[in-house]
Amino acid sequence: MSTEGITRTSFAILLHTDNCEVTAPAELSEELRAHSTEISGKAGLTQQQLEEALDRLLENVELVPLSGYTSELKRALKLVRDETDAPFAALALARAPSTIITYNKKHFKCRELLRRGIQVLTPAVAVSQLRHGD
Amino acid sequence: MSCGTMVAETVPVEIPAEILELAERSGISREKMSALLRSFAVLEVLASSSKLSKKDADKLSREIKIAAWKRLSPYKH
Repeated sequence: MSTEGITRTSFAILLHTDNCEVTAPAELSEELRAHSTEISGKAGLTQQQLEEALDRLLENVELVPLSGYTSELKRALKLVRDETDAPFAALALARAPSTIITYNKKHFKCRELLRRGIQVLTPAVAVSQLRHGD
Repeated sequence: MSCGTMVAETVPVEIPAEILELAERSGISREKMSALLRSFAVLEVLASSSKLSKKDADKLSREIKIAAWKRLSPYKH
């Protein structure tokens, strides 16, 4: 996708991985790769090109398996508006204090998450905070 | 030379010494700067070349999240 400054956001986050851990549910990454033929077809890229982009995006990301956040999954379901976002909230709970970076803040119950030590930020705000060391 | 599964070439890039010093003062080593520039170039070129619309990306994102949730939901209790 060529909109919304995805490269700048990814770059800024990669730049700051010495100061913070970047994590994602491993199962999401596996599904992303399982859908790579469909994604590359719609993007007009070769599968190799897409794999290269995914490798770059994920090279400093710790992919956490279900065992790393399964105990929080039930609690996480109460903190999201769409159950498919529960893995992200569960991982954030398991690693609290933490930050969820998303273009879809409305999918998360931000105030309730904040009470549990989790900020939900858009990429632009997250990058700004990283730059200013907040 | 190979870069993952793709053949790679080396591109000389000049960066002002002042910028490198600034980066090093911020804790960004030359090695890290090199790796970041490589990632930035790859991501920027591929993102610019992608024909994926936001609507398509949102739809694919939803499909991927649903597929992952089908695997994870049995563990929600």
